[in-house]
Amino acid sequence: MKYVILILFIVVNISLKAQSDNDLKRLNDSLILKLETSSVDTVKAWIMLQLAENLMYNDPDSAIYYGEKALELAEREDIIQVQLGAMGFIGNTLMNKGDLPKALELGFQAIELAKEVPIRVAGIGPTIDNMGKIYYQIGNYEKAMYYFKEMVKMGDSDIVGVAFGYMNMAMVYEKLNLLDSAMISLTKSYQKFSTLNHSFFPMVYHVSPDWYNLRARVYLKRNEPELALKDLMTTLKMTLQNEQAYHSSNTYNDISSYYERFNQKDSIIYYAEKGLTEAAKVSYSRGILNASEILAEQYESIDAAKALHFFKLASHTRNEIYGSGNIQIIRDMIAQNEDKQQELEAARIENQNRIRLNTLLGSIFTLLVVAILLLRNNRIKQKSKQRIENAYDQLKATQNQLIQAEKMASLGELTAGIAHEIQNPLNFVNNFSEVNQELLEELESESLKGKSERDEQLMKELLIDIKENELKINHHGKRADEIVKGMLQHSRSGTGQKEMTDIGLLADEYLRLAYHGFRAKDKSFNADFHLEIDENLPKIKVVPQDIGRVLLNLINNAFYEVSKRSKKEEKGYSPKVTVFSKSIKNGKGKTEAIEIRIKDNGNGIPAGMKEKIFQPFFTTKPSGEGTGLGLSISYEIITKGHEGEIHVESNARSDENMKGSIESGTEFVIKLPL
Amino acid sequence: MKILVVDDEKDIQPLFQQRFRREIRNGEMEFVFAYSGEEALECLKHYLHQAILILSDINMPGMSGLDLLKNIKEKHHQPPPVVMMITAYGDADNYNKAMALGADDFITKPVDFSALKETIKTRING
Repeated sequence: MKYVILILFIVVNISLKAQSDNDLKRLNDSLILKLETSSVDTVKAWIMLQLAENLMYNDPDSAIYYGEKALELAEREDIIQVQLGAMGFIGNTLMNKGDLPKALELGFQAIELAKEVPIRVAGIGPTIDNMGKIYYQIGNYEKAMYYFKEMVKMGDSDIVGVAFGYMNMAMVYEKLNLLDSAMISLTKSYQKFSTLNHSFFPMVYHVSPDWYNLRARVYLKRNEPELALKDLMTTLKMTLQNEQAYHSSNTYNDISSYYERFNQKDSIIYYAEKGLTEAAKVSYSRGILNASEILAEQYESIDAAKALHFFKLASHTRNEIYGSGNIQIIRDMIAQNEDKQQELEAARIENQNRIRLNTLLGSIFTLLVVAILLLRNNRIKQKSKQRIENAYDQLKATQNQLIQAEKMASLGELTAGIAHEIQNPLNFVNNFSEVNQELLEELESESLKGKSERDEQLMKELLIDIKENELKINHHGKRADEIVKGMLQHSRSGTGQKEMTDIGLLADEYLRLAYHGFRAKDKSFNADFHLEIDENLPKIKVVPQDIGRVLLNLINNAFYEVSKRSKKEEKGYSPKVTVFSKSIKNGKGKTEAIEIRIKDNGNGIPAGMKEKIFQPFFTTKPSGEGTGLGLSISYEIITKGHEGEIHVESNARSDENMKGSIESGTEFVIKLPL
Repeated sequence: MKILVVDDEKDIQPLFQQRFRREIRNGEMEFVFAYSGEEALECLKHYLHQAILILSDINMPGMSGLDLLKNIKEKHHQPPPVVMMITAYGDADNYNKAMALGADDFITKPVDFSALKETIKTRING
């Protein structure tokens, strides 16, 4: 097994060298070009801030250079977000170089500065991140956790911060051996990362490389070394490609620790030395410390001179970061700051009360002014109001037309499926009525015979058959009727009522309709489709035709995707669409929601497109084939109409980590509360 | 002659029984019904070494009619059963597939029962 892993690694290593597209470099080159061509200071400040962020892990000196330049410009131009961001990135770079006191000082300064701003601004995120990490490094996990939770609280104002916040929480949980909590936080972090469209994410990375290092550590603790190694390889590939020596150093050191488990001395040394080289490139002191500690220990029994060399390096670096002087400075600084914070808190409360009173008086005054103004402007407004209302009505009408168009489009897709579905019951109706005709004739001829020749038994049997067939005719007629009614319901606009609905039946119906609809349009199309429904799936209260439309949209898209892929005639590809549904239970084992998944094995959605798909008018279909409203309406129906959730999970073949794999596809996940 | 009818629509049974009531009454034909491909294979186990004619639908949940056809034609059975496919999709693709798998006949829905009766009779006698 170990050899297999080693060989695997060599293969990965070789293929890495062949890769030359460096996304980070490309991004930075374009930023530098923009910087050179821009003459607006505000724009320049933002660009330099971005450069500082992008360069933190592969060129710390340039990161500090751009950070300080950005800070200078931002102070002059009074752009507080850039100021705060630059302080955060400089702080982070200093921290990685091992200068904790300076990083901490800058952090406190940034927090002070942020207080001057009335609302929470996005720029403070990196600083909070640094603060937490410094506390983490000196072993104060409680305080570290406090800062990381603060990051998560930033919510929509800083989604990058939230993603990092969850990841950092996982780091603390891992340290405290709370592995399940670590995994949960990692998942939340991943979800946040995957919603980003910040240029760095996902252009350079789909998730922070640290994320994989962290999960690998959790896997190792859970005794799943193969998974751990796989994650380490992923992150190594990401960071080597972008020459982020800080990250590569971490990963090499982690791989080295991985081999410590198996006591493979050669590998331990090999990777620790690589870790050291990478760390040295960016003066990453903690990386140097970790690697040299491992190396000192490993060489102890083989090469005393080398062991001594690394031992010296380790103790020197440790002293530089955590030396007694440093720690004292840090403690003093923290104590001082906490005193200050208490004073500030008291002042803040007093201030707040004053502000409240002032605000109240202020608002009364404002209201008065507004009232007078309103009165004065009333007449003028009346006119413009009329104009606005007209425009609004027009917009509303257009919107309704568009929604109706989308409904009709999906109805069109349905028609062929419905025709096929009706065909079966109609065949039965025709057949049984023909049979009845024959039976009636037979009965008639029998009844015309003389009484002694008549076969009474046969006549009785004929009558029973006729009666049963009549019931069957009726049954299949009603079946056809139901289908037509369902179709009408689908196209009907207006207010649908919520009613208890069997999601399994609904999904079954629309899956078959969509399939037959597709087959009718394209005879050569063939796909495997399945329905997997939990037994005991409870009925839920929904608007059946609305949920039906969502299912139809998603299933149609799935068939469209697999048919598109199967047209390329790849070997070994068999198109497949599956609809799953199951109940989701809360902690007490009670069902709280129903989950529906619509999965296909088509080409998948490229990472950059995922956020766009729910936007109105976004479509990848050729013009005339799609309205671009299907998914946005589905989104509305699920989130607004039913207070549910809908999201997409997808591996696209065009994504970097999927190259060459045929295991791509898309899965839409809907959650409907009970 | 035994005839195995495979279709997921359950009412196919009374329909065939009545459409072929004369043939059944005078013992010319004997019908057996299965409601899925899997059930059909199970059923066939009982009739090894007997002449049998199979009428199968193509679009069925689970094992499709084409899968069933493939399975039957690849495996065992002496004498080999006659397999006739019945489908609502009479397109070339479906037809070619069925023929490539060795189907003996291909009938599109709605079924013309008098024609079907004749076909079966020639199969039985010829």
